[in-house]
Amino acid sequence: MTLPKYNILHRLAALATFSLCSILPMWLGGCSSDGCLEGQTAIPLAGFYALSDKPHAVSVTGIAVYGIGQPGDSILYTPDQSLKQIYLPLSSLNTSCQWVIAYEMQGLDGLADTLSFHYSPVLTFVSNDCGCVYHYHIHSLQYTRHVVDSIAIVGDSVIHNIDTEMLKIYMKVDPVMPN
Amino acid sequence: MSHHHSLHPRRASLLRLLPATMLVALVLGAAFNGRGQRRVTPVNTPATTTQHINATAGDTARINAVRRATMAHYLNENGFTVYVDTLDGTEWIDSTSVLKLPKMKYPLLQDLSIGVNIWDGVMRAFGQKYGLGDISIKANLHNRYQPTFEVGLGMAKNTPAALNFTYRSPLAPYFRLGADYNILYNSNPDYQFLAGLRYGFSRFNYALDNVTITNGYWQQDIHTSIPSQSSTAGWLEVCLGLKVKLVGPVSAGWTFKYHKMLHLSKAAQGQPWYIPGFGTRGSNIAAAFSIYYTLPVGANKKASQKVNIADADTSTDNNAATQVDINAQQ
Repeated sequence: MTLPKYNILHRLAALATFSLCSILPMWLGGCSSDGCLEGQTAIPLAGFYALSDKPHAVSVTGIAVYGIGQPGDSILYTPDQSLKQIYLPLSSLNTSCQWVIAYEMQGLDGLADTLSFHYSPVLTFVSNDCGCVYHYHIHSLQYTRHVVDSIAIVGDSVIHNIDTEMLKIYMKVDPVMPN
Repeated sequence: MSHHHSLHPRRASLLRLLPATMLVALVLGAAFNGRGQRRVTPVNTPATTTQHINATAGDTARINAVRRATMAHYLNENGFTVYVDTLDGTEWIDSTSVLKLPKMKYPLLQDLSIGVNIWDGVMRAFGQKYGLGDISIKANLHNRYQPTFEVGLGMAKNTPAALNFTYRSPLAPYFRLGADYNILYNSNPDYQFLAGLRYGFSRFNYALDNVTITNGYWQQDIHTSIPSQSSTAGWLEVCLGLKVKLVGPVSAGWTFKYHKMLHLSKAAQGQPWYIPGFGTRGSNIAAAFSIYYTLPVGANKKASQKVNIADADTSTDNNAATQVDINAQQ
């Protein structure tokens, strides 16, 4: 009883067959990349809510939003916009920054609320597809209460590169247009 | 009239044949009927008294059973039962047991092999930005169980196009410990189809250089880096592979791996992209292509052994022995 002896051609053929079966799915899989499914920046997203019997999301018009100390005093949102949510980018080179919500509407002209963020920017490697992003660990958030009633931070107080609402700005009802 | 005269002889001959036909049918019927009802009265003669012996003279199973009952026996190193005739010392193997393949056809330590995985090295030549290579030591037990230890070195340096960093992971060692199971364990050891498990472990550093971040609203262009972070990773691999002898003691083989991270250090500034020995963190599939050098530790000793097998089923002489080289395939 002698087991068959195979020549080197058979061996190479077996190896080549298995190679093909192995490489093909890997090659096909390698062609697809997940890409950066998250964002490449971490910016707090704030939503406006009206305080009433039951707090609800609202769209606000007649407000200007800008950062204090921004070179050029650039306004990020102008009063002619109807805003349900606003992005409030934080300065990456500092540990605090202030944002102003100025009201330009009848009865509230000249009023403004200031939001002061205190945080630690942490440079974070997210992935090979998204690269490096600053995450912000929020230590405290202070604000004036002319029109703003209160602000809530959603989640773990860390601003990630995920496009979700991290802040809820509850406003007194008067200047707010119901959604 | 002429018509009547012409038919008459034929009818006469038919009438003459009818009794003869009936007689033959009667005789045949009686003969077949008598066979079914025949009764035989046994008569004891010298021939009939030895009839059962003569009838089973060639029944090797019966003969073997009688021999087993009167003989001592032992198990040889191949797992065969060897019967010893206590009168003349003849040894023979029960052919019915030879037909069943022994549980362990090959010796405990069939061979040792040392392999070099060149997959990452080849892939780097085609643009892969990570990996280096590893060496494996594998013991082949009974051509079936193959405990394996692998040690290797890995590194990475990658600057993706249109992104804002250079990932750098300096040379770091990794280890894998596990075993393979040769599915073709009773076949030629030159061809092995292996399924196995590994636990992999690595401790390594990684850093990100040349990080550029632009903060549009605050008009900040930042050039920075993430300093070296240390990390420890452990993972599990499920392997499927093929090993084929090419020439002499040289073999080659593919291993196809599905791996899953079991533990990875937490990192304040982001998890690593590349883990030595594992590959990129987001991928669950990896491959290896290794060249092996096999040291035939137990195979040589085994190859010279020959076993005498009494092939009682094919020989009228029960003492005749057939030489079978069960290791001829080696």
